[in-house]
This record gives sequence, structure tokens and C-alpha cells, in this order.
Amino acid sequence: MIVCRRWKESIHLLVGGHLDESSRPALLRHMEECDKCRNFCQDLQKIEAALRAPISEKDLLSRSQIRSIVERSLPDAIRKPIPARRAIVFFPGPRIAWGFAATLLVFLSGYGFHELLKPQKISSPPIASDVPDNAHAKPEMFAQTPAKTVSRPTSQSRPAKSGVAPMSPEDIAAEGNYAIANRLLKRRNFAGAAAALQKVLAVHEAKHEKAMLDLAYCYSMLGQPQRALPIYRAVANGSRDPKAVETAYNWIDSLLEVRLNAYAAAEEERMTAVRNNPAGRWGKRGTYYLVQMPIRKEDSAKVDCLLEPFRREIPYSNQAPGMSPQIINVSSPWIGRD
Amino acid sequence: MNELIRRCKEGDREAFHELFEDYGEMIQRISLRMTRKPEYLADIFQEVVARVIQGIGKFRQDAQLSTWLYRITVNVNLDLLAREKARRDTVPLEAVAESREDGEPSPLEHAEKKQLFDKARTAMADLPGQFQEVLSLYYFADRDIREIAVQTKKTESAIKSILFKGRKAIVKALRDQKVIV
Repeated sequence: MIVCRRWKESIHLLVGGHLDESSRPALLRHMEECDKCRNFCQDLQKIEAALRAPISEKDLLSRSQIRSIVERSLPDAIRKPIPARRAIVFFPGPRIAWGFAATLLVFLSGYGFHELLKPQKISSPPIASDVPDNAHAKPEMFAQTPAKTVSRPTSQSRPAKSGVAPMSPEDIAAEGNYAIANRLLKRRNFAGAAAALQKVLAVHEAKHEKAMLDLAYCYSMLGQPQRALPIYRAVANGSRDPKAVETAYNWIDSLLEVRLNAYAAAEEERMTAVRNNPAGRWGKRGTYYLVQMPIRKEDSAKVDCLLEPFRREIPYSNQAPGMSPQIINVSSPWIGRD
Repeated sequence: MNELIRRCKEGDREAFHELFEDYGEMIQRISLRMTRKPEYLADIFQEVVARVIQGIGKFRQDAQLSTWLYRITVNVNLDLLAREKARRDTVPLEAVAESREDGEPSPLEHAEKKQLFDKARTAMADLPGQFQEVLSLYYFADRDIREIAVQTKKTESAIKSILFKGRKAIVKALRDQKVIV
């Protein structure tokens, strides 16, 4: 088939949709008269149609499918680390605790009572960055860590010299409880450790993030995320220690993910029941989700992704006429439903 | 974008998720257009993801990410098509029945369309590299001429010229094979 040379390029442009409007009438008139050009144009259109045939949107993978494929393909080497219980030592180990107790007894028995009135140095509780990560497992290692000294102004505002701060009976009891909690944690007795830590925090008013993190960890391991999460949030929002904040956020992420996965599985069961019984009702009719979660912005995509399949699968036939989409308000990760 | 690539290179898991959320649709559209086999889409996507994870370390920041992903996707699809070439292609009976119920083309028309598509795609694969790239971007990745020009660093008129010559070559190949008269 020999196509008129003059019109050949115009036919290509026409088929591609790039022919300008001014040239179009002339070409169309020519094709009415010229069979070869008309056939050539039809062939090109066939090829164009074959190559650009529309694809069905339903064939595309959903966001959750994409996410799961990517997750499967990522090697374990770059898997997000599971948050580990980070040792941020609040109280020293039991040996030191007994040492403190003995010193206090000596003071109280009268030997060094007058020393209390003198200016003194106290050893501060060690901060996380000064302490080796395994300090919990090996308390004696911590005993070798040089303690920081800070001056504590006395009532007479005299300069500090040296000495050990006296401990109140509550402090001693808290220290003992903390030592007990540590021992129980080592034995993985989380219920006992949680009870001991509660006593510690009752004295210290939740200002020591180590004890708080330990308590939250116990709750997590006991399968009580609803109790662990507020504690992690309190540490994440209130702590100045970046390590403690990071640990808390890691746990929040982890607990949310576990909870949302469980939620997603439960929803899938419900939606299956609805699909199998078209007349069946599930909550209000015609359900949509609005996810409102008081979590970090970057987590919203994760939540969205987990709930996406259910948004899609809601049967429209189940919507009551004239009813606006119903909202399920996920106001917390523990799924409160309106 | 450089930040995203940097995070991927550092092994940030979430960065990979973000990357495929951004480019997942492009990858899927190219794959569906090239193979017309939705049943293979998940496998193809997984293969693309695997190749991206393997190759991200070698990816140069000066290259465009979409171009790189496009090349990987096209290569994965071509590999699949090469493997499938020897296999006899059939249309499932269910698909035919469904299409007739929906008023879609008859089995004969379906087969003709499929043959035309396969031959056109084969003819495209025989073209020189730059023709293949431009035609694939135009037909499979749904890019318009301006976007292709930016991506391939060519002028719009050059892209039009390549499309013109590419179509001409495809028509010629199909005529030689008597697919079109």
C-alpha cells in the first residue's frame, strides 16, 4: 500500500492525537477520497488501540498488597530492629543498695550524725549514657563506673565537700523494690516485677523513666498493651533522654502494629460474614472508616495501609439510601468504635 | 527524592515502602500493558522489588529514579515474555464466556486483537534501544510527549519524530507478516 507522501506524517499525528485543529479538516477531506490513506489510518488506529488498550483498575494491586510484597522481599538484614528493653539504670545493683543501707545505719547510730550538718557531695543517679547496656545483667560492672558528683546546697548555703546523701526509709524501700524487680525481670517473672515496680514508682512519682520503661515492658510482656502504651507515651513525651524517647517510640510503634494487625484480621472476618450474607448487617449500614489516631504523623500511612483493604471491600449495596458514609472513629489504638 | 534514595541505600525499611508507594502504580501499569496478564502482576512486581533492592546500592544519584525503575520493569517483563514465548498462549474458556456475556468482542475478535498486540510488541522489541524506550514510555507507561522529552533529555520534536518512525517500522513489520494488509 502506497500512501500519499504528503499526508503520511499528518496521519501519524492524527492517530497520536497531535495533529493541530487547522490541519485536520484538510486531512479528513483527503481521506474521504483516498482509500489507501484511509486504510493506512485505520491500520494505525488498530495498532494504537491494541498497544494502548485500557487496563482494568481492579487488576492493580492494593496498597496493602504492595506493602506486603515489599516487606516479603526485603532481606532480614535490613529488617526494622525489634525494640529491645534498653537498660537505663535508675538504681544501682543490690550490692550498692546494701552498701547504702549499711552507711545509713552507721549514720543513724550516731557516728557520723554531725556530718549531716556539713556541706557534702552526693552521688547522683547514673544517667543512661554513662552506663553500659548490660548494667542490669551485671550490676557489679556498674559499681566500677565512676559516679558523677554534684553539689547539693544545704540549708546554710555552705559549699559542698564530700559525703553520701542520706536516704529516706521510702527511698530505701524503693531501692529494695527495684532490686527485687530486677531479679524478677531476670527470671522473666513479669507479674511480680510489675508489682515491685509499681511500688517503686509510687514513691518516686513516675519521674524515673527507667522504672517506667521497665514497668511498661512488663505490661507488654504480660499482654497488656493498654496499660503499657500510656507509660511509653509519658516517657516519649516527657523524657529528655533521647535513648529513652527512642525506646518508648519503638515500643509504641511495635504495639500499634501488633494491635492493628489483630484488628485488621478481626475486620476481615467481619467483612467476610457480610459478603457471605448480603442481607446481613454489620454495625451501621454502608460503613466507611475515618482513622484518627493520636500518633506520629509518619505512622498514619501505616494505619491507612492496614485499613485500606476493608475500605475497598465494603459492599455498596449495603448502604441505606441517602445515608452519608458512617464514620468509625478509631480514637485510640485500642479501637473505640462510635 | 535524593533523600529517599539515600535512606534506601542505608537500608531504611520504611524508605523502600515509600518508594514503592510512589512508583508502584507506574510499575504495575507498565507490566499490565506489556504482558496483559494480571495473574502475573504480583510475581512481576515482586521481581521488580527484588531487583531494586539488589541494585539500589549501585544506583547513581544523577540518574532519574523513574527512568531506572522503568528500565528494570521493562526488563523483568521482557524476561517473562521470553520465558512465555515457547508456551502456547490460550484464552481461558471462562474469560471468553465472561467477555461474551458482557458484550465484549467475540473469541475471534479477541484472538485477532491479541495477535495484533503480540506482533506489534514483538516488532517494538526489534527496534533500536532509543525507539524502544520512547515507544514503551508512550504506550506502556502512559507518558505524554513532554514527559518523555524530560525523562529522555530529548526535545519534544525529537520524540515526535521517534514515535513517527517507530510506528512506521511497526506497520511495516506487521505488513510483512501479513497481520495487516
